[in-house]
Amino acid sequence: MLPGSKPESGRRKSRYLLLILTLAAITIATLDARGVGIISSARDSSRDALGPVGDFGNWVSTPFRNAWNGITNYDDLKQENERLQQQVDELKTNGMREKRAQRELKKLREQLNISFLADMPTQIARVDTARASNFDDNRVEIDKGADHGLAVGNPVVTKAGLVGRLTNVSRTRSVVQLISDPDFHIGVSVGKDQIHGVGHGNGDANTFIVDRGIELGREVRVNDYVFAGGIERSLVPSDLYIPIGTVKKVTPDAAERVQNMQVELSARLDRLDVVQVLKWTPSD
Amino acid sequence: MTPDSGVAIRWAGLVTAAFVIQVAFLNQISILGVHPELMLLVAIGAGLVVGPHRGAGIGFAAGLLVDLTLHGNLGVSAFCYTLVGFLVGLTKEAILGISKPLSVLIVAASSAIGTVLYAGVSQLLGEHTFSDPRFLTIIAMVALWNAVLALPVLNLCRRTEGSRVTL
Repeated sequence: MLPGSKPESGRRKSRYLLLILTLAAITIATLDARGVGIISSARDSSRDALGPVGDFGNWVSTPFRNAWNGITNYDDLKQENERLQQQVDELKTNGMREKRAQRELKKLREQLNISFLADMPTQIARVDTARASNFDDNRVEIDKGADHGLAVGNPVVTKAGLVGRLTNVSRTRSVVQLISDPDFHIGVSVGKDQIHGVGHGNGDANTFIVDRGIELGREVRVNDYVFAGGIERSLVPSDLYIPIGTVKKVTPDAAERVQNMQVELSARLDRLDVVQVLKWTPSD
Repeated sequence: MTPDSGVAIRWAGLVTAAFVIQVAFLNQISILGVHPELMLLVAIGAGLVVGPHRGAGIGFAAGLLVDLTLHGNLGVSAFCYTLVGFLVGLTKEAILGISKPLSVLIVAASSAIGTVLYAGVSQLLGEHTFSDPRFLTIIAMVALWNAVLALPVLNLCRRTEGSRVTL
């Protein structure tokens, strides 16, 4: 063997391996983008299997996270504390366990008494607060899935209003695409005249944009309510008026001859805890 | 059992343990909304301790596991971690005698590169990663987190590979 031939063959082997692995990764990404069944099944199975692991970690780390959040999110906690102060009297009990149970019960009662849902069959679910990605992908996981009668397309709400819709459902878990996702488009009704338009997420947790369908001259005012519903073939039942938010700013677009609206979302997407999934699937 | 299969089993154990720690615990803790990327760190560690061959292989496996937990396209993290593990391995070969401070710097820099690469590929595939208002914060914090965890993880990688490593 010539001197230096071994390192050279090692380098060639490494490059060959790199080529194989990058091609494999690109192939997997392509198959996933095309919705090949085996890839989505693998992901669904792993989501079901990893759910309890995450839940266990969540349970174990709760005291540490609370302490940690107390250090790193002091300002947020202060605001939250002021908001919760009004509720403290209702929650006074003798023991910690009972206190926790009452908190849970209150959240669940709130979800059960959502006035705008009428008799629509629903499923209460808890939002997984741990985020797998550091980048905000405008999606959250909930702890209910196909076993509880959920299906892709089901709308998700809180008592404040529309939160999103299910985009992926495995046996025991589901993924919610939040209304803040720029790719989330939905027909809306605006104001007392129920003017129909189309809106979409804006990438942040508080703002929704309506920028299609509301022509110049239609009467839209700041603080008008924006609802999903009242529209045939929508992502939510046409006979329900689910709040999205209130108009904060109206900007005329002379070129497109429409009015653009900035809407403040009713639901607090950055503090989701318990949500309710409507067992209703939009028609294609 | 051959020495190579023993090393492979040890690496599989390390990657699995890191994955469980990431899912169960590290995803739950964050500073400025950013949690550590232990799986990326293991890929970097494999490249830095052993070389490009191991860096790419471990990077692919670690990335694929991470992809299973994310909501984006499967394969994106696998692609990015493979490249990062390989490039760090090449860096290791190019620099003789990497000191501890330098290895921490390499980990921080390659963590930042890996995060930017992930964001770029995700953006190409239709995600909105570049428009995330915390984009720079995420890159900086992932680099910082991984730099903090670098020495113990590199030590684990060294033990996993056994006596053949030269770092």
